[in-house]
Amino acid sequence: MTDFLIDSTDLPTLIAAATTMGFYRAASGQVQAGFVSQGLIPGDPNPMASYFLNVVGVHQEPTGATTTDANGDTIPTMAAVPGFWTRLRINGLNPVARGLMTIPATLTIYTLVTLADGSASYWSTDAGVTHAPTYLSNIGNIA
Amino acid sequence: MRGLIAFIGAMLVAAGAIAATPGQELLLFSGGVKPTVYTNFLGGALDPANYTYSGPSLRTITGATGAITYAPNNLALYSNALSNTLGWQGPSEIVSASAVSSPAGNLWQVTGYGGTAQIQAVNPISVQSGNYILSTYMSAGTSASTTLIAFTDGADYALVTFNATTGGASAPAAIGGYSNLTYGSISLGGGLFKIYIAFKTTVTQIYPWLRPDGVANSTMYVGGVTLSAVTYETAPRAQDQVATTSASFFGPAFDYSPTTLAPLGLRIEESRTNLFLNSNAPATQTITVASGSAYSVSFYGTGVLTLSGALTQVMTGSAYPTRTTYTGTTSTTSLVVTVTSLGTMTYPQVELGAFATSAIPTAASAVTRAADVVQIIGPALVALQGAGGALVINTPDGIASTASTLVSANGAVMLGKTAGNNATTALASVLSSSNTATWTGANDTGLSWKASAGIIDLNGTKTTDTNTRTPTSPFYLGSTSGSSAFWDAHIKSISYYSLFVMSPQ
Repeated sequence: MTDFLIDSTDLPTLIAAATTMGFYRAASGQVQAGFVSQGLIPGDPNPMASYFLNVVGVHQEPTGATTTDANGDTIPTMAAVPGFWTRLRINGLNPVARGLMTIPATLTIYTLVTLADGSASYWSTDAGVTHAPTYLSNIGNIA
Repeated sequence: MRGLIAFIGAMLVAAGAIAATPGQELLLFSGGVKPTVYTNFLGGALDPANYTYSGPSLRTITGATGAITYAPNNLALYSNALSNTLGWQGPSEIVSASAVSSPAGNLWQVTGYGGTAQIQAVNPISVQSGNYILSTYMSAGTSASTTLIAFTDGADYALVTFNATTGGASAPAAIGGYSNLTYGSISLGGGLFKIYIAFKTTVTQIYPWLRPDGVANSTMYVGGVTLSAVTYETAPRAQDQVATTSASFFGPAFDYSPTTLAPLGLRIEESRTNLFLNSNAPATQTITVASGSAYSVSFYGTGVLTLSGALTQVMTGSAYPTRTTYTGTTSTTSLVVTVTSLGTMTYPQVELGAFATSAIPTAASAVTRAADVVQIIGPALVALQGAGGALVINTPDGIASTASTLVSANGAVMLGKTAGNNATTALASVLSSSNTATWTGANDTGLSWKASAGIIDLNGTKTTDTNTRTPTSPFYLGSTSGSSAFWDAHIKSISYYSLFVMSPQ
């Protein structure tokens, strides 16, 4: 079971990419267009993995500042972080490694990399060379 | 006269004089005809011959004791394939097949070469903060002991050493992000033990490890490794003992009434996200929400939550199993949830939606539960695809005033209910029974069809039409295409008939 974080920049880019990957269906008859959020890996001749696509969209994080709302409550100021976010869970063998799926170049894929001694983990797009912001761990967590 | 014909027909079918073949029309009441396929979900199982299930995340249930816990799960990979190098590695161990049997299949002989080497999971298992049980079957080889370890790093682990002959435990340790360690062994006779450790953790990844006694060339027999998320349990659960290969096991949710402890059947829910952070230690927090949308706030037990900002409400709880809920439309983008009184509050939840769904424990960030996707296959699918047939579904509950699906066929509602609480089918047109049910109670909903007629039946009240319908696959139970209009409640039983019946009840 592996979770990936996907930054697609915006929703149309995500839809285009998800269509390529088999995670989005066009409208057909009485079937409405939309994300196919979970199921078996599309096109798997010997189904060995399922997936769950948790489309989050814009993610907000506290800026550190506070403000007062209309009711007089002090609340943290939130701001959107860059990106349009989705968390993808693959429960089973990686379909990309098995040649069942190609990741469109329009997507930025983050994986969780654990240090060799297990003491820390980082989200990274380049196998741990570069560490992504820690707030990525807050995006789209799946139970 | 119709009743007499129905009675005679039923007797003929029961006697085998009339074959219940697809497309056949009989003036029968379904009570007199044996279903082609009958599924009773009260037994707590999903018949794999007629259903597939997908729900790749943890989900909570109300268990047989009335307490909230996790649905069956085994997060360990290659749980009884310890020689598979995709799942397990042992840099100084040799893993080979053995003839030592266990309920999980034959155990594996692991030969160690001294030191503290062990066989360990290749990849860590991602976990949320919470309680877990790690277990394996063990039988004595020449190693004096087997040490069972939940390992994260050198500063975060839990372990217990078990005597290979007696199952006795020694040297328990839980450090760093591990605490509340309990452990034990269950003798299964013939020198076979189920050994286990239960612990609470705040780490995000766990490697299961199995270690022999460190004497060169000593052997241990192990297999059937299970790592399961639990809530209050401290011993292995039978429902988690499911063999895995490359995928973790997430079983469907079968709830029990927390008051009567009666089984409620199969629960099918949509995906939801709990926005309330650190739900196991409720504290005042501000939650970003979408303005103008329905949100539901809920918690179990006593205590008081005061909502301000986007919603305004004081929610006063009562002792478990009472769940206090409030649904409102947000007026701003910041919802302040103040824990005015903690009491015995558990599982606080804030979710986007017009009703609360099952509890989703959270830690430092919001957590999303996957939907329950149940597809109908096998003989049940064959029965549904007939030119004539019938379907009767018994439900103990439902979400009132929300359109939802019991069975969908090729992307359309085959049988479900409308927002007006009528039973409905939309294969050709909507058939709404005049019998509006209270969907919080038990209902029998049925549909019969043939080439040019249909009957929909809700608790004995029927409506007919002359539309043409030939149901086609794929068929989904409790949702439309596994992606929308989820039932969001329970299903007790389903009867599938391969012939048209006049009163599908």
